[in-house]
Amino acid sequence: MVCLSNKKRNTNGMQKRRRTVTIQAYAMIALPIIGFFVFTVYPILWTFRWSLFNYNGIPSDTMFVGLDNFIKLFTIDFTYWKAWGNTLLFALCKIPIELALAMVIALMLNSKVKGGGLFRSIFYLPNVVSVAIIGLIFSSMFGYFGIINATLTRLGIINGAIDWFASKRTAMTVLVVASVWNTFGLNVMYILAALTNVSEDLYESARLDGVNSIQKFFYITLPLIAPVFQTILLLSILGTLCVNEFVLVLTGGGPGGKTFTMMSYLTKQFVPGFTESMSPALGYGCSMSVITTLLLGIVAVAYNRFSEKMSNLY
Amino acid sequence: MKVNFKRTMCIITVLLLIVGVMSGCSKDKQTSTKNGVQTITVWSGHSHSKQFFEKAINDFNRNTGEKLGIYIDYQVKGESYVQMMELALQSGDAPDMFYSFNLQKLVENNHIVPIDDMPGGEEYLKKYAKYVVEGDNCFDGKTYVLPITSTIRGLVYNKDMFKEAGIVDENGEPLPPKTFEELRETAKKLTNSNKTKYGIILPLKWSGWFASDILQPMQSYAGFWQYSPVDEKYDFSSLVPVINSFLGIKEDKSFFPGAEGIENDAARAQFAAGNIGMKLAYSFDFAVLTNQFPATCDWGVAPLPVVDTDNCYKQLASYDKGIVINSKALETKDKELIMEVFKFFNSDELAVEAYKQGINLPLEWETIKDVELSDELKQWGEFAKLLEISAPYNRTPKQEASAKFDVQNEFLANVWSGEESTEAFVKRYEDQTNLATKQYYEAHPEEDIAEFNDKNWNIRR
Repeated sequence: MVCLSNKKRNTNGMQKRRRTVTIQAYAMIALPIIGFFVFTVYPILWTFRWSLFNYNGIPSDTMFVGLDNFIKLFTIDFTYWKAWGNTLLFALCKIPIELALAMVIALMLNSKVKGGGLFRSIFYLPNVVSVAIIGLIFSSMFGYFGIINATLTRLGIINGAIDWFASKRTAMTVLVVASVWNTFGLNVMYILAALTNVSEDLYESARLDGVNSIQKFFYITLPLIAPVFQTILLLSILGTLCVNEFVLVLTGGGPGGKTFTMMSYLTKQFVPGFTESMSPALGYGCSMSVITTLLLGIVAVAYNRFSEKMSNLY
Repeated sequence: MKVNFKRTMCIITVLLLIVGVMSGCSKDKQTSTKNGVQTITVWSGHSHSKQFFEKAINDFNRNTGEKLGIYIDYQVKGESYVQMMELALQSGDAPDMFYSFNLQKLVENNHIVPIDDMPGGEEYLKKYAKYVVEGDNCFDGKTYVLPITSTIRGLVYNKDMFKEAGIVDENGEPLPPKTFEELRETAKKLTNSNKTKYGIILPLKWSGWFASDILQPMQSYAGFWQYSPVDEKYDFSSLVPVINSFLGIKEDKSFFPGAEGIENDAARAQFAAGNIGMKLAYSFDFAVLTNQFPATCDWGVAPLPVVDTDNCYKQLASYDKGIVINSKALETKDKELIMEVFKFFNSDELAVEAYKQGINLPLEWETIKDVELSDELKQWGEFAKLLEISAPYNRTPKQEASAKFDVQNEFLANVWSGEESTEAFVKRYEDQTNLATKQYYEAHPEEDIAEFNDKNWNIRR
């Protein structure tokens, strides 16, 4: 009898404790959940709603237009699709260089070089420099009378100064160089973290089997860091496709809008504070955001599908 | 004990958080009346005139303000002024009066009140009848804001370089170009790339370049700005010779190289450094060339070039809007006192004083013609003199936003790069703009394009 009553008391106590823990857990996640709804879900719903309107903030101009904004986007606004082309070109040029460079440097730093910590900090440093400052630095370096032209001329590589911002090809080159400089350090950190998880024993066994360095890299290192590399590549792809203020400060989309990426085009045309217009077509901008989000979602899903093998190499 | 301590700390933390959060929600019920003096808050986004206005307002508060029982609390909000104002209006924390922006939006959202409804408002507005324009200052016949200052255009030129190149009159004074063709020739003569001296600078990276150097001068050679009130359509045919002159400058290589990578600030800094012969500029550039980037050369201001000196029209002047009255201010503040503050900000005395100090230009030359300026304000006086040959631009009909022609990028991508002829580009620009206008008025049948037409429009010099 006593035993039963003790058991009941214990069960009640446990239930009470469990309820307290549950309440605590809900209280703890309440704030981020509220933040998620207010700062993420609500703006998304807001964007979807206004994408169906002609909306510029002026009540008398506001009217429901259904899918008109989307139809215009697909049939009239070729600049947006050209901006998508520029974005893909930028990504194709930047990502291979950035990741290859990051991989080489990470492998070098992983081989216990002297002053490795210092080099890690140096390589990471560009990542914390503000985009506005990077814009100023590279505009000045690649300016007509800048250090790049002066150096190339002195080395005899070019005959006369190049106007780097005058053509799409050269302006895109500047964007790629500056962007790689800005972000490769972060990838060095990611890859270094992945490399530390590769067991030394495997390298030791391989060495005893007479495997050379290149074979070690392709048959041991690369397959073992592949699952992490899959994430690094995804982050790099999405980061590059969403490049925005970097383009605005460095080329301003020029010459003649030829280096606009889709995010920088969207910002420059429709985001109050960036656009010249006092009453930008926010409704149309919202429809562009919706399509951009969907397309980026498709890219992410397709990437995950095609890169599935990377997570199962070992 | 340990549990109690933890619990106490948790309660204190939660209370602190609640107090912190709630303090953000509190309504700032500032005492609007203190010792019989009403505080009227005014916000501005004009950093360049901050010191001038602070001094003028201090004088007002000490003299007129003390007599009338008004204290103006003037705050400059800087670059993010519009965003701050929009947030303040939505949260109900906007000041009693503020500098106007996006007037139609303010009117339609009932954020501001018409001056006509203020005490003595109708009488006061009579003086400004010729300046106020429906759609710009008024909506449905009610005036909400007055034009307060002017911004005008001119060609700034480096007198030292002109003298060095021998481009002078019989008295040895520099001779700035009068036509766009002369602009090209002068730029060529001034250019000496070995000495890194260039005839002109074209900040093509600046998104306002096409408007500044090609579209806005249009009024002085076409007689209207973009939309012809007489022919009742957008007409850009007069741009052809002007664009060709700029292409000629490119061909002659008589402009500062690397134009596509140059912003307007960098261009103004280069001009100030004394390596540039000419630049098309705004009257506010005077402050830039004296304070921000003090010019190291002797420079002057000339009228904008035209196409044909026998067919000159008044240059484009834009009137900058003054302060508006927050409708909520009328719930707590005395209407008469608010009107006194409104009159102070729009007074001729303040306009003359601002001119004397190189801050703002008034609406008309007549207001300041007898004012003598110090030597440091020589170029400011030259800009002001251009008020005599300037007139406000004609209003332009609205266009369907998604069909608007992105003129600067189209120009740089196609014409400046040599891929399209000027004539073809101008035709495309004109056709697309007229189409976008037609689309807008088809979608808004309640609006009438006829209000932009005027068969008697004539601003010949």
